[in-house]
Amino acid sequence: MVQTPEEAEFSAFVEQRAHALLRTAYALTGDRHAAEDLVQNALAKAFVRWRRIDEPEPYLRRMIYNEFASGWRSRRRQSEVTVAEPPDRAGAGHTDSDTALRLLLRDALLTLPPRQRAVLILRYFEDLSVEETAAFLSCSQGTVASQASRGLAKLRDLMPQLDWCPELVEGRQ
Amino acid sequence: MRFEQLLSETIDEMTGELPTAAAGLASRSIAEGRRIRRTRRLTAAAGAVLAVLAIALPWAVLPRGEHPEPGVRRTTAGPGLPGGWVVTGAGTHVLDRAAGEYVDLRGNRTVLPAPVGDRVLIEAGQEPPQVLDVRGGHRVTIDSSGFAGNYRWSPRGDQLVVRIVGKHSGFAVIDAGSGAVARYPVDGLDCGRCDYTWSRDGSAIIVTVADRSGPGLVARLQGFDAATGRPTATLPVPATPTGPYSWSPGGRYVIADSGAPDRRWLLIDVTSGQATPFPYDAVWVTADELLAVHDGKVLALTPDGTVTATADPGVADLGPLTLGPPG
Repeated sequence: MVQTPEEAEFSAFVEQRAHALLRTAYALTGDRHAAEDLVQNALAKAFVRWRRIDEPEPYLRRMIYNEFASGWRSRRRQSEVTVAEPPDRAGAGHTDSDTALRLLLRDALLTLPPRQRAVLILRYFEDLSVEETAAFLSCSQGTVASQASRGLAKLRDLMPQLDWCPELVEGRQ
Repeated sequence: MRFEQLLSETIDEMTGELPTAAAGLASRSIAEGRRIRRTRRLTAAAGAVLAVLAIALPWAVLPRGEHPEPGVRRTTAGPGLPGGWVVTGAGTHVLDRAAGEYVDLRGNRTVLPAPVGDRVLIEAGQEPPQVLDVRGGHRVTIDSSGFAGNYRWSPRGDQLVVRIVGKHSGFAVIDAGSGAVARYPVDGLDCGRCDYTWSRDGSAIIVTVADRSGPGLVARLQGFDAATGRPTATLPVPATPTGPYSWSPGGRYVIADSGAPDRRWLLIDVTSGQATPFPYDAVWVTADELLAVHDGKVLALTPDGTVTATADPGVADLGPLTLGPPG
């Protein structure tokens, strides 16, 4: 099927940048299929007004974050943690390795409400400041600070294994 | 290392494992974008007609505010589906079987109608999940501490299962009438994606067991007694079923997600583990007929994947469709 110039430009952008967008969506959803749904949904909406978008990637990133934070639902309604080569599952009392902690942290991250998760991903994955995160999500800096604080506190609460890692318990409430 | 640094490294590591984008993402997005454009043009045209006529027309949507509850209603859609199956939900619209209408539960980030009956699970904002009747009655709030939020209805619509993460990981069975939660820890099982779901008769909870030879692979399925949480049988099914109706009526076959982008859905003979590609995710109506949703239409298929009929339920513009049996 012959593509229009608009479709060809759009397709080229998707080919180049889809993986980066999917990484962001995967960080938010923790689910490969849900991430694809989220990105495809954003791409479809972006295509509708493609000719009027000057900088597609920031536009799409903002759309992905805001859609997720506002309570987006995957059409599959699934959550998933895909692990390529994880270590053996750690039992109680054997969670003092960083790798085991990371696996537990992935699980804990999935339990956070979407807005808290989005704030933490922006702050600690995208390395945005509180001010930048607030501008990104179109909310106040106070909201970002409180959401980040609550999210971190909940993660710490969900990980009693941190008791074996005193260097990580700084700020534990 | 500070906790924030551990968090940063965890997310970075997690996203680094993501495989390349699925083929066809651009073409699917363009197709969906075109559909949105068409819908907007039709909506604009319909709006102009309504402004002039100001009368109730079949299929017209008349918004009554930002978050109505219950909200916008539509008459239930056209042709019936094989075996008396119905479209139980379309986006945030849930079928009220008694009234023959769809009730819009917008404003909730999760709207999950039961496959039969009139119960709906909703999640709104950061509130705990609730189960209620489609008309808003008999509302119960669920104690969701530790839940991963991946809820699946039992085939009779009277219970839900959800994964538990954290200190006592495993699964929970929720009574949809009372909201009572039974928690069952699962030790020593590497479930990977950990998609807990139900057997077709509702007696068993099913979960994947990970195959660590590759990302996202499933080695087999593990069953648990839904009433006691005790492990039961293992099944040679290297893929993930979506729900109880993914299983054929006799339980011999299952449609399941292989995770592979090129041959994602498989029809698997549970007795032998033999798998053949299937074109869609599908539910079994009878031993000879399945239904699938594709591009807003409901397809009837034979077990060899042949599409025998296509029905347009007329509600595809409201959101992704979910199907349920009569009842």
